Amino acid sequence: MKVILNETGGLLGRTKVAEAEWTGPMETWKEMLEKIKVKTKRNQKDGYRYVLTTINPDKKTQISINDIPAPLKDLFDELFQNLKIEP
Amino acid sequence: MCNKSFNPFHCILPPYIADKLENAASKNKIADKDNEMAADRFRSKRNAMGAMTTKKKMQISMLENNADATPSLVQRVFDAEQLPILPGTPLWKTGDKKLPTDKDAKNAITGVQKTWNFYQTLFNRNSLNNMGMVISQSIHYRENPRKVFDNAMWDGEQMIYGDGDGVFTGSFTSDLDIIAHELTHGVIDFTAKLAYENQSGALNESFADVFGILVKQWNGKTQAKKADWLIGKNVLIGSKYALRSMKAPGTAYKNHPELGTDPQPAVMSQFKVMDKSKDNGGVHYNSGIPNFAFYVTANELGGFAWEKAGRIWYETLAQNGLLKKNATFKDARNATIKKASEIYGVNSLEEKAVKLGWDTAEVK
Repeated sequence: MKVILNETGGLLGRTKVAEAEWTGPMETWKEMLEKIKVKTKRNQKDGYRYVLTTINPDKKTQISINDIPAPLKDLFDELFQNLKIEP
Repeated sequence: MCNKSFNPFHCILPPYIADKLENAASKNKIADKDNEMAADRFRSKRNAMGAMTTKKKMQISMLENNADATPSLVQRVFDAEQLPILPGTPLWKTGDKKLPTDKDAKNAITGVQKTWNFYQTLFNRNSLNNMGMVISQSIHYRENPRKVFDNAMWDGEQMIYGDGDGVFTGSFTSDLDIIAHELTHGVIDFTAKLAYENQSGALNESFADVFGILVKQWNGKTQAKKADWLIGKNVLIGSKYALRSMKAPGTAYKNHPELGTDPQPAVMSQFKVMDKSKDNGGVHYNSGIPNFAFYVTANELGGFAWEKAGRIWYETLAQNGLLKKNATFKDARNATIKKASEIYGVNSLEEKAVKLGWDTAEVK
């Protein structure tokens, strides 16, 4: 499943995007996504906002990257490394 | 808690500091004994305050906060140690004789001092909430231990700074205007409370830039016509780059290897309609327009920008109800013109300069 990480905001306001492939079980994915989903919005100014988009099944989820669970660490390492300014 | 319904005895002993220190200690992320002791002290003090009568709390808060004496700055600096745990390990607080050796801590301390002095001296404002709020800052922060934090922000309770990536960005404590920008977000939270999306969000960003640049100019005693009007000159590595230009939005960086070219518009005909999922509807893009209006106003008036243009903008922001939460650029135009005529008179040079500023930015 294709996973797209979108980082937007920050002091500069630019949007960065990265893609990677999730090859693990869907059940694990759903369980982990629930863990990193943003539950309460904070009154941040200039903070980054992270949205994870999956393709097939199509879904957008606002997430926190503070505490990435172990099964997603490699995936997020790849996403972090590949974040590039959106053209 | 403090930013929603302000209560002086909540803010004198910021509960979030105690809670966060408590959480950090309980997770065993920070083994520092001093930190645990500090958390204990905060907790016991907060609990004691909770058990007191309102009258008693008020007496204590006034004593501790010097609310009945000359306003004085109280600040605390924490080291987040590249972790997403706030506030982090206590590093320094007002009253400590020895300054930390850490360069970012020094920058943060002096940046807050200079910004606090600016607001107090020019506008008689006592800290962010005008009631002596303790200012807390965390340096060396990361949102994730495996990802550099190339950013600075105000999280509704405190200031947070990252170290940058070391390639394209340096430490986010390295520009006074950025520190003052973030602190001004705190001031806005306690005044006009401009909603952080679309045009009101761009105004929020612009007011933060305006007072960020004014703090820099005031400290450097720089006249409007001699100022560079650049935000974040040091944080972007490379002498020809800055984060934003208020004098010429869209020119702060060009062909930057990471960022490309500055996309900020200067005038309303270039306004970027953006989805809320992108930078809250382009708050850091379209802020170029009100930034340019302020620059033109200040440049037209000449002298020191904080004396007239800054005063008009500050009083517009601080006057209860003059700018609504969802204010548009046009609302900001009307409010600043009204304020200029109130302070300096109808058809005064100052009122005309404000009109010229907004006209030049095509906000009509």
